[in-house]
Amino acid sequence: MEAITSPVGRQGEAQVGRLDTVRRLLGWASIPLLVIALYMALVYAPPEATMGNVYRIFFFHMPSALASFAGFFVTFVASIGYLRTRRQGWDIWAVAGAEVGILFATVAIVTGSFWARPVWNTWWTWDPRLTTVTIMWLTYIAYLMLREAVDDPERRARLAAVMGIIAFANVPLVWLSARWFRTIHPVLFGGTNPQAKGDFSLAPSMVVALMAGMVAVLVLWGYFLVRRVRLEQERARLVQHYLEGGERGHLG
Amino acid sequence: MDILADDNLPYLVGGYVAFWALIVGYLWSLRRREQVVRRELAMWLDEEEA
Repeated sequence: MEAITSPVGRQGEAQVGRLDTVRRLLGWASIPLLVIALYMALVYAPPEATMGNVYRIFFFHMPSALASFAGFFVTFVASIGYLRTRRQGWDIWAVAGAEVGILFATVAIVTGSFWARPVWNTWWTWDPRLTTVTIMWLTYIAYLMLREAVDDPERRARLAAVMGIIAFANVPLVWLSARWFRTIHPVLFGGTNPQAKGDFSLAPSMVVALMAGMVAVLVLWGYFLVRRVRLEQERARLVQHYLEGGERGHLG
Repeated sequence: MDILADDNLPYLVGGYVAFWALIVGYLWSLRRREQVVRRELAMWLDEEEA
């Protein structure tokens, strides 16, 4: 992608250049990291005692869920930033975080469903963890729909920021749902769940494979996030051109 | 490889295919949107120069 020389709002050219560098670095780094993570997940990690090999979905399922939380956290922080400063840059990070968060939440839901079918004997069940994840997913879809529904950029950013803060309330609940409620979803870190189906203990080599998956998916998440931010900056630049052109009589 | 002998292989393959389909699909969507914005920016700049 071409570098933007005319930055949005108060962002300096140096900052935009740095973002492009970070985007390129993350993009290139994600390729070998994903290859290593795939090798660790499919070859290095041993089969699980009761689930066999299907549990290997876990090595990308859990990192994707964490990446979605990270995306929504970016939206939360950027929304607060926007309401405090009214700077468009925050709004750009907020929308990018939400979209990338939705992508990884979708990945976590779909891969989880493929894992659930042989282990739980169903593709889907209204378990507390799955229900709270669905509410989270739908809330952020609504966040993007709200943005599409409002034409005035300042009003859109303000309303979206309020929603971005409120929507985040559900994210910790997703994490805690498998610890607080009766659920069949396994809890591997920071708790136990006697009702869990498909629960397992992580052998050291599984932990290594999980870490490889975490690093690869989070680097990919960072790449998508920065690339989405740059797209939104270019869009803002385009809108700015149209508005300036309109003022000079180019439009209408 | 013992993975290939697993009865649950279709679900494992399905999970990984779904992961890559979503990732590649999103990349494609980003690329398309970038192209549209870049094209519009280029058109605008051409118009300005003319």
